[in-house]
Amino acid sequence: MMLDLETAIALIRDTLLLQPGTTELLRLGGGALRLAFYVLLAAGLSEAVGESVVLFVNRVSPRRFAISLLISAFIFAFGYLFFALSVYLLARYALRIDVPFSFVAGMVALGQAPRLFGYLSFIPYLGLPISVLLWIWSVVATIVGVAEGLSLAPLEALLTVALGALILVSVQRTVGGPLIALARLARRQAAGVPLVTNRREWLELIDSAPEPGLAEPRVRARRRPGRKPGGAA
Amino acid sequence: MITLLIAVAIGALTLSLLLSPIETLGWWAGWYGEGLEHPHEASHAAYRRIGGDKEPRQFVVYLDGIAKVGAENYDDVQGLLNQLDAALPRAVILGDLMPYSVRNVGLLDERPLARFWRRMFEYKLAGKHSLLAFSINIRNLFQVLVAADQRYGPVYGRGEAQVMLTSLLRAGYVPGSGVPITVLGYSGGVQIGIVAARFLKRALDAPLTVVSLAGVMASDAGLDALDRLYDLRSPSDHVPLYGRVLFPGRWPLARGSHWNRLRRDGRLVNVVLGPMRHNGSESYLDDEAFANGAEVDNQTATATAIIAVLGEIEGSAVDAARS
Repeated sequence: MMLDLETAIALIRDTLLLQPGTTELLRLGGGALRLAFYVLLAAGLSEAVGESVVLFVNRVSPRRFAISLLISAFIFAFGYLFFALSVYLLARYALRIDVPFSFVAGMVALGQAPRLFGYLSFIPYLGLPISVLLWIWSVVATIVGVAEGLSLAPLEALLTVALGALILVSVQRTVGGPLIALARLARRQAAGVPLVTNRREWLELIDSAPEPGLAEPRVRARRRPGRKPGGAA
Repeated sequence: MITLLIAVAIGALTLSLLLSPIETLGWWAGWYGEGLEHPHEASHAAYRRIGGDKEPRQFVVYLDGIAKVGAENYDDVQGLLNQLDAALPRAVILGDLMPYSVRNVGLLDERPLARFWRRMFEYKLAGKHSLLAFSINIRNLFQVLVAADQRYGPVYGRGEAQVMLTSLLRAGYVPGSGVPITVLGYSGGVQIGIVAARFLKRALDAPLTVVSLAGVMASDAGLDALDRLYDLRSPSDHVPLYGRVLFPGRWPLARGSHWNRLRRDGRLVNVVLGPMRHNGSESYLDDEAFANGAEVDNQTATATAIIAVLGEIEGSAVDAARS
């Protein structure tokens, strides 16, 4: 079943406005589920655009920049599908709710609709608070969807989503290591350069390779605890 | 109709905000085709010094406010720089940088929207369509936000430091000479000077001071590189207060911030000027202002205050060299 444009827009709008009734269409599967996954992919792409400063700072070429954005969108989508899997397992085995995985995945995917605005985090100075707000908004949208779809009280839905996230993080840090490494490798291959992502290394990169006139950055001497700098031993 | 206009304006502002970091990041990523070592060769400013040859005891780099469009200065700005040049025989004044472009490319030069900016500049000079002409200020204000952003600021600072360094070297600055450098910023130009300070200090290892004229600035790591920051402002000008409110690092609560460290170390010097507005008539650079019913020359009053500060910086450098 294909969704018409009007229904598709209404479904996304209702999710953004945290309105009830969004899971009814997902329960039918087909077009609504497909739409939810398109939303997830588009949200991933939008987030990747918002965070593209990493690609610029690492001096990625325009062609590889575009490829990197697409790869990041897929990695984002896969990440949320794994999150959906942990919510599904909780619903099935802890809460004894019999729902198909595709339905839970659709709920989680549609809950990321607020992050369709993720590109706004590229805005200077205001971008970081915007990205935090979008993240909170998408968490709330996911909780609203899970509460409705699994017929849970809001607090139960909150706990389910929080536990789902906890399981995901635990799995990522243990058996999920190879998948994380694979995602990193895919990002690096797409960018064509080793990607520096943490702030300290980032500043070192900007400080490095001095052009004529700019001197080498000085390596700061590390102080030993309990000793005054420069003082006699 | 009004709703549509407001929607179009909000859309245009959002798009403009979104695109504002592109020049800085694109330059860093090499997307403009030039290396990091030089600003854009074809369109950079002439790097002219104000006045004739001097035996310098100080180099002053002026970074104009957000109305700046290119290498040429507005008459009131040029008037101020000429007064500084005349009063300080041992100071080299550089005043033709475009602080709102890490490539030092003016709005009227090689840009996709150069025609649009030329038209806006004509409006600004003619005093017509002031709301449209204000788009120049908004465009440059967004660059101040880019410089204040912790993600983009270091890249901006590196680029701007390179522009300032090129200007200094072409004006005869000898690296390693220890001749003090003063960045004189007006309004948003102060933020640009501060983000460049860390890199400029590293490049030249000379005494570095920022003189802020009604500056709007964030608490940036560049403040740590400054020997001093002179903050000149009028109590009747509220624009510098926006920086104090909008940038959390400037709040007294943020005790460990770069700004509060600057204050605690005694490197912040406040200089209170007479009643002046931020821009336009009766502003810091107005040479035909009126106050209390009498005609006054704010530009000269501002220049006198800056000359006193620059003289103090020069004097301390001489004292330091002697000792």
